[in-house]
Amino acid sequence: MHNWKHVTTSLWSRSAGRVGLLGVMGLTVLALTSLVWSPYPPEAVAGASLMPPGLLHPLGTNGLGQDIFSQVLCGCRVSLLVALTVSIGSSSCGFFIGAAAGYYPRRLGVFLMRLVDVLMAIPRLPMIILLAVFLRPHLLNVTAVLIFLSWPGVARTIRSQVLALREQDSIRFVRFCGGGFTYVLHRHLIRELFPLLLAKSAMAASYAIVAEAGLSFLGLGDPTLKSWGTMIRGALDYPGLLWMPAWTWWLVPPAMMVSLAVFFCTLLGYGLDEALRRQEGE
Amino acid sequence: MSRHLQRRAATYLLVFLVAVSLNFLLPRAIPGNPLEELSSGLGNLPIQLDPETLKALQSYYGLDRPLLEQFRRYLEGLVTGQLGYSISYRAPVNSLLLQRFPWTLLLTLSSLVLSFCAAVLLGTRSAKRRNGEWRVLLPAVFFESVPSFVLGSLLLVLLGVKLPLFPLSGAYSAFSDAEGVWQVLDIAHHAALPVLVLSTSSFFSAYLVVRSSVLLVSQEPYVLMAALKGLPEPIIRYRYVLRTALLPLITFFGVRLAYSAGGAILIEVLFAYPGVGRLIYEAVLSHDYPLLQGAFLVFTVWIIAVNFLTDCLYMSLDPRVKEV
Repeated sequence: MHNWKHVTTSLWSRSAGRVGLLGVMGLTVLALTSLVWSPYPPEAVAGASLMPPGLLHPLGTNGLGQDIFSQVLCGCRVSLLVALTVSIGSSSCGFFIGAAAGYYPRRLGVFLMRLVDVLMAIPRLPMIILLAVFLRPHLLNVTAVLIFLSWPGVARTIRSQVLALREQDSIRFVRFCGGGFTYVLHRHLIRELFPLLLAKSAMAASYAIVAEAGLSFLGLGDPTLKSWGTMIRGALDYPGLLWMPAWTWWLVPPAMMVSLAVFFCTLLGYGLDEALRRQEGE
Repeated sequence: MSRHLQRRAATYLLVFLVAVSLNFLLPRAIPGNPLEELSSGLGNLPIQLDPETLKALQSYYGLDRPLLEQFRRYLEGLVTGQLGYSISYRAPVNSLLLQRFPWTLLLTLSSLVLSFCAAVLLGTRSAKRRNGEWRVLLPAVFFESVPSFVLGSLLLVLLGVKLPLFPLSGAYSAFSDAEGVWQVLDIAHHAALPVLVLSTSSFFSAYLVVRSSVLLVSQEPYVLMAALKGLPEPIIRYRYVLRTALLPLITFFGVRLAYSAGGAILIEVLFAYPGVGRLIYEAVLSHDYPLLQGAFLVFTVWIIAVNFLTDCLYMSLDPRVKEV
């Protein structure tokens, strides 16, 4: 059983966890702000094309005269939404399937792990591209594809943990007293494995942000939403942009934001992982 | 073959079967169809094919047959090494893939070898003490987080446009009749920027793995014993620690090698590099089923082959695995 206060203080005490936590919180605030307020609607033509950053447009405008700051805000919303959904989806799918595979290691476990092996050996990015094309570009479909491809990793970790946990005396006793799979799952396994699951889902979130940006960069994301990947693609597609000063305010902000978002999620994951390992070490 | 390897081989066979069936089914489920694309392709002259020509083309490509029969023909083709005929390129898929795969291989292999050599050298050196490790790790994690295509587009601007050191796209200069050494140099010049991007983005994760593996091994009693015997530091570092620490790296390298070919798609698209990744992207855009299937198959077979070789290598290097 994990001591929650302990995990959180030990997450906060290390710079990795602290930077990650603060960063993710900051991005969340940005995303929430964009829900209620942004300087201009992200698709609206708000000024002359390729205006440098100034008072009216904090980050300038793009080739169509759209405000870049508003688009970055909106992109934050898209990225975080995908990250949150994918991390929740893949960690809960991975948790249930992995726990079932670990709890029933004979037939069901072997079958599920074969499935995991197969899914993990399929080339990921080509598969994502193929599925994204097949399912029509919609944010929901992008999320579903990413969940489908990222739960096996979680399931594998959870299974190995459950395999060890089910042989612990306390859980053997619960089973001896007649506790079934669902009882053990919600009374013991979830509580025992929740911090690990959190670390895994932070990692899944950073993967989801990269993958969504990559898909939008290829033009296979949701065409109705301005995401960071779409902005980068738009900037690179604009004829001659790279020879003008405008790339500094059109290309760099979304590029920085993607990297920072991934960075914060990864740090949060590392921090949680480390906090957990230190607690187990004690 | 030992039992462990046999089990791995069985898994990989299963993966291959699943991939082949997915490979066959998915492109056919993609909205749109290649003949429509042919008759009114974007950018081409809008040609309206008359119904009879369409029918003839359909039966020529076997698209009018029942799905099961198409699948049977596909499998037969696979067995005899025929991957079909690309609809958009109007060329056999085999020869297209053979033309493109070496370019992908060139990019992935050279970037992996580069990044791993650097990671092993720097990782062993920096893994001496644990104090202040976040001063090393924070920047490493940050650069690991920059997605490769983001890094690529920034380097494209900085090293391709601002300091015009490298060409912006392609794999060789068109219409140049350079030969011998000059041709090799030309290819290296074109590959430099994509390889730099790919190796930078894989360097940092390799570096983190090397570092943690070396740190773990350095705490083993036999390393302390070697130090107590008074062996010089470099001998301990490279002969005692690194040899053991490299074992988990072999798996890591194998996994990287297997997946980086597919991961290079974005970079190939960004730099218009003529590899399989760009081919798959073009095939998606033009609904070219046979080409899409062929390219996907190449990635799958590559992953399976590399994974299996890694397993074999690992087994022969680490006898402890055999007991499992």
